[in-house]
Amino acid sequence: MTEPVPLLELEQVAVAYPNGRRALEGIDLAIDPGERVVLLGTNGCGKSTLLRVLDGLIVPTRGEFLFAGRRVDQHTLQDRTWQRDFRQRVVLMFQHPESMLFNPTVRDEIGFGLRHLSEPERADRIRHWADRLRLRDFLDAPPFELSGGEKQRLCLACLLAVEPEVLLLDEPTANLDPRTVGWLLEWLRGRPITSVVATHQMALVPQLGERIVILSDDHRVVFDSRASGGPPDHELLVTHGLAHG
Amino acid sequence: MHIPDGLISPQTYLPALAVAVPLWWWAARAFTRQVGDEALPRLAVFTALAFVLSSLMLPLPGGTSGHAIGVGLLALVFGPWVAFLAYTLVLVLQALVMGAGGITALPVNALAMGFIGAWTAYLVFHLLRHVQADFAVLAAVFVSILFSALLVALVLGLQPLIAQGPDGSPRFFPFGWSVTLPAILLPHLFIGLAEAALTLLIWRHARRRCWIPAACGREA
Amino acid sequence: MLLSHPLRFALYLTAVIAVTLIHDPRVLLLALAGLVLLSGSGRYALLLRAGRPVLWILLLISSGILFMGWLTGQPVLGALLLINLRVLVLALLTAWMVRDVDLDLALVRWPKVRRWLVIVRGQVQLFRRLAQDYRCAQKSRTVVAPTLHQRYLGSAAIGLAALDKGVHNAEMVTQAMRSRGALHD
Repeated sequence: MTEPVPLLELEQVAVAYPNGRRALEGIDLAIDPGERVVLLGTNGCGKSTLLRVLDGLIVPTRGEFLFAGRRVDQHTLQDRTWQRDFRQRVVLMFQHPESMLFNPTVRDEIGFGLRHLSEPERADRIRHWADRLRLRDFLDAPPFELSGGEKQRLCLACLLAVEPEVLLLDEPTANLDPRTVGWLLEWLRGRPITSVVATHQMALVPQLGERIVILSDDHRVVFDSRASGGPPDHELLVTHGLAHG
Repeated sequence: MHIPDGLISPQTYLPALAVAVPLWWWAARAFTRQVGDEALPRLAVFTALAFVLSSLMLPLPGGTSGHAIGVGLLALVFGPWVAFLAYTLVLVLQALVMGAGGITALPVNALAMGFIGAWTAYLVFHLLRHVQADFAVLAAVFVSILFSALLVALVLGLQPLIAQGPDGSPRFFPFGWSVTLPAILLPHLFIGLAEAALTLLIWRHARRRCWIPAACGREA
Repeated sequence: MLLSHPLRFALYLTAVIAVTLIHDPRVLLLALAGLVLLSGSGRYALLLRAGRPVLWILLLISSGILFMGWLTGQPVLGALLLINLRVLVLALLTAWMVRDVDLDLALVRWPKVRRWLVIVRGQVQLFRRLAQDYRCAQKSRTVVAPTLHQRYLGSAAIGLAALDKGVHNAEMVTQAMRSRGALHD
């Protein structure tokens, strides 16, 4: 019996920026369909970079990224059909919501990823997600008029409306109010969705995912609960700046 | 130096538009060739940046301040075509979104400050950077502002000559070169010095970030 | 008759060019009166909004014209009226356009331009806030009035922060648009 192919796979991935700054080193990570992964690490350890590699936005300087068994490189990324399919299946919520919003109204923003649907289906889904994320009153407003928290909810609505297979979240709780955080955690629990959530809010880790991966300051994976068979111990967390001694 | 509507004749702004349009097309083409499908978001952010840089306060003696133009800095950091495009779009924003007007004067403003300003800064800097980098920045911005001011003064001073009524009375901007040249160039000597100093301060820090290819020893 | 926004915008541009082709102060005065009447409620606020940005330059130019008239003994009333009325009519047209034309709707046939405008507006807000934060922080730390050099350093700090943010945001917005599939539309 053949082993299931991981949905997302990084093999010895390293990323270095043009100015020489290293962002990731020798990352090996395989994520199966339906897995919920929490990515931990201090600021600057490479969490955001890793998420962007998984979203096909950054091509590794070394190593390989595979999505559903297919290698993702510059060549693949230029294949429009593949790109379109990939972008429907994998979505990333950026840490700063302003970067994500570029449509004239909230309605257009949520509907942006749904242009392949019929008009009634599209309108239905927009209404549904606007209701779920308390954005009904803002549907005709320009996104830049929303507050920080409202923008973050709008970004969530835009991404979830697409009904992706993989949800990548970069510090999603940074600008969300507790009510929306609670909604998101509840929603994540109930879905057969693959998720990778980058955070340094330790208190929410058990609710965000079952698998914990820790990146060190030198941009490597230093802990993976899948390999160790259990959560990280306190000493490890202290060593990597994720808890007080 | 922002020229409002109604002071520039059609005999000026229409030919200026005819000159500006192919330059805009060329600038857009050069930029798109450089960044491909990323042109729209990058240009949008640079336009916003240019907008804010053009509202930077230029401290002047006596506790007063003026406003920077910012084109020189943009040209040195991102290149003259980007600076020209971004500055033009700032003028469009100011005219149509902020309601500051200047839509007929737009091609003249864009050419004087955006095109001449950006290319002067870029060329002077590259000519002098092997002499001394700081001096090159100062000279680039100072000369760029003066050249832009000169062009504006010449265009405004031309109006009474080319757009007059049958009785010789001016139909648009009413003063000739004997007024516009000293009135515009003299204050811009000070503005040029002030903006050159400000740009140098910013440049010195910006070069350390190494997103200025020229400062890092790489070609733009 | 309710005009569509693209049509309103096209009419505005046409009117602006047309005004620069009119050289009779009486026609311009009629145009000004017509604009004020047609602009509906809030017309005085509109007039004020239109007049404010051009007030100083018109005062300067008018003083210059009057002075030249006095020096040369030539009649200047015609030129004075023509230039002032033309500038005012154009300023009023622009103020009216800004008030009554939804640029986003006017650009509905150019989705990429609309998108560009949305991003610019959002980013301008961010940059402005950044500049404001820096100015407030500088003010809150100011015990003694800053020297000229310190004021330059303050402005330079804002410029550098804006540049930093510009480079960073250009990358972020590009990646975010790519991530949402907006760059291969």
